[in-house]
Amino acid sequence: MKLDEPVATDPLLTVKDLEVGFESFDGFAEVIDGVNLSIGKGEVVTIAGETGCGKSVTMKSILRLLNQPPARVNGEITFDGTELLSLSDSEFERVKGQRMSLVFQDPMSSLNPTFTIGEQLTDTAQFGGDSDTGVIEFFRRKFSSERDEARERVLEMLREVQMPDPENIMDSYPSQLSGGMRQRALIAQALLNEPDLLIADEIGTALDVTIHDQILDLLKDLIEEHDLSVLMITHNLGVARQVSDRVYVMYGGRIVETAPTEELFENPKHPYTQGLIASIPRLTGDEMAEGIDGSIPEYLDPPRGCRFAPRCPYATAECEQGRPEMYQGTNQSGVECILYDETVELSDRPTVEETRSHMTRRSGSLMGDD
Amino acid sequence: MTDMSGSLLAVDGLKKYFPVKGGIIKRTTDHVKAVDGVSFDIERGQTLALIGESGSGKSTVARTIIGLHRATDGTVEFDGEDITNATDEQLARLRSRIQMVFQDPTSSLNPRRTIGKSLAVPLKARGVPKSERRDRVIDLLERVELNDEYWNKYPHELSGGQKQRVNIARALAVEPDLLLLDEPTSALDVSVQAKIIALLEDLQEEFDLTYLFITHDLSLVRNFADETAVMYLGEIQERGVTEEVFQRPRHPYSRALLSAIPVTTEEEEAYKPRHEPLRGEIPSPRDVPSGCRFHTRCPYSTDACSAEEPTFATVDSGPSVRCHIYDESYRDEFDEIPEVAVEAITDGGGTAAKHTERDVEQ
Repeated sequence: MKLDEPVATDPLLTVKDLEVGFESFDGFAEVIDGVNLSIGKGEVVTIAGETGCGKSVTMKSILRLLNQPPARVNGEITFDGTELLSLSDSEFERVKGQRMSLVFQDPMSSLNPTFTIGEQLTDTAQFGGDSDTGVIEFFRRKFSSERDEARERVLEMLREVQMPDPENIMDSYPSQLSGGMRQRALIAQALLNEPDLLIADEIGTALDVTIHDQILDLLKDLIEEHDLSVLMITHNLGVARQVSDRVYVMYGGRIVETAPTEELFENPKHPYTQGLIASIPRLTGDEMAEGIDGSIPEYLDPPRGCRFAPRCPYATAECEQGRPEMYQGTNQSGVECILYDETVELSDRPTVEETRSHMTRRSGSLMGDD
Repeated sequence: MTDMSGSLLAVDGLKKYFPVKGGIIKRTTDHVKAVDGVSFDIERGQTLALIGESGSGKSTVARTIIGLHRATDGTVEFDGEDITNATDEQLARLRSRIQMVFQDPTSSLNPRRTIGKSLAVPLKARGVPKSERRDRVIDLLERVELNDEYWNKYPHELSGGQKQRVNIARALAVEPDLLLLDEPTSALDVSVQAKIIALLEDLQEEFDLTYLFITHDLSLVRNFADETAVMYLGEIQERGVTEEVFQRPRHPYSRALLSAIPVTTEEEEAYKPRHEPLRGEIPSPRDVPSGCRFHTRCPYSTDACSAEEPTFATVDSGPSVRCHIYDESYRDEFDEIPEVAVEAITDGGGTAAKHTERDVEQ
């Protein structure tokens, strides 16, 4: 399906009509269904959505981390003019190692517990993006003065991520570090080879709120300093609001809405986005909605039309017929919902308040699902 | 809100130290002070929220109340009865009056039992005859808005939210008075979390339940709890009526916690206290800092903070705070104090801080 997707100006990464499915014993699960997204140079973009909406699968297909089969990946992923899906493995490794970095959610399982932080990070500094260094070259680099230079570089980077007592940390094992320090070490590792694109998967989510706050502040500073383009993945809309320039909201393997951050939070358009925002507990104590009825679609047999239709309070017969178009708004925004067709009266479009009232105090009916 | 019967649960000076063993003969060399003198009480039908970061001892408090840990010191009183380190007979009675809902909905359900069987266990323990159990279970499922199809399902067939509903239903099976909710929604997505919270609110109204709600998510507490207590390193640092704690957080730690929440609207942004990022991370409870436990991370800390431990005192006849800033005799030592404290001086005049211990000294 051809969608007229709003794109970033001067894009570094463009994903077009990405489709990812998984073969399973029960059949073929169509998880990602035509995702279009783009990240401009120096732009911080967030993909937000709940568990099972396809955020991580999208990220993994960009980095080719999915095993094929069972996964089947189709579409076009362009990184700075290079089509990534058609590259050979070693060519891709080079692009990935030298120009992209990934920071995972769980800082413990992403570090090797048997090597010190210093060893791991120095290896990254020396061999990052170089998967086929020969044996001789390997030993030459490992035991020459290059190693000391690389070590210096790592120390400097650890200082930059405000690691307390970096000299000692170099000789510590990951298990000796606290969660926040491990996360800092990972960020340092990701930035060692001066990447252009940083992909952050739920960064800091496993940490406490005050540490999470420190990490986000640090990340914001680093993004500015290193002029990074960032793809953030998060389920926390508050985090999306705090760091990103633009947000993509994913639901059921599709992007249902995109807008610059401020616009998205001031004026969310898609009923799913509205429901999600209304469900967040408020510090001010305003009433919060009682969540969205139903659960995410079964990917083995997804709804034919709009994937949100079965849970949407505004759904009509038309919604179930076919996938809605991405209606483009001004200023890099778009929403995939028929209520935003030009023929629909402005007054018929839902507001957050309406959606909230639809989701508050249902009559005591039994539900089969969450 | 039936205030006439007074407090249902009263915890006084509760301490829980875990021994650290070392050496060849495994002698106790040290203690992890997980809970170090926690006091609070909850009135019947009310909700007290216990908030704090991981490692602050919130869960240990709940587990000590219900008898999963033996208390090192202090007392726990439930409905007028001393239940500290309860005997087996006492526990057998208490378990039908105090129930706990745990954080991870999956690991708290037996994967080899159907939902119906899992829910029938507490009924059996209570002596409900077999013929009645099925009806009672279906009744329970309806209470948590699940239908009778779930009788025959296994936990792996359910979503996280549904599993947590089953856990709540199981806790309700014995018709308890007090529910200890240990982070019941932190493993769930926001739209599901909102549903579980709404359910808990409805149930509280219907059965006149009392909740001890443990969480690290402050924004969740705002509408849900009547009182809020903020814990840090085994001590309660600030306790008061939820609205007061949120509108005018007094302890520097409460302020930092509130200001660190990523929010989604401008109004909330304006509502938060000034952003005061904390230094470093929570120290180990094995090696508690001297004086005020928070001084190593506090943006306001002075020498006095590391030297002497502040008392837990009422400020402006509102919340109780454990901080030297609110004590007149220390005030001059601070270079900078938060606005709330300044208000306290101007509004409350000389009676801003009533430090009971200091009065005794004089």
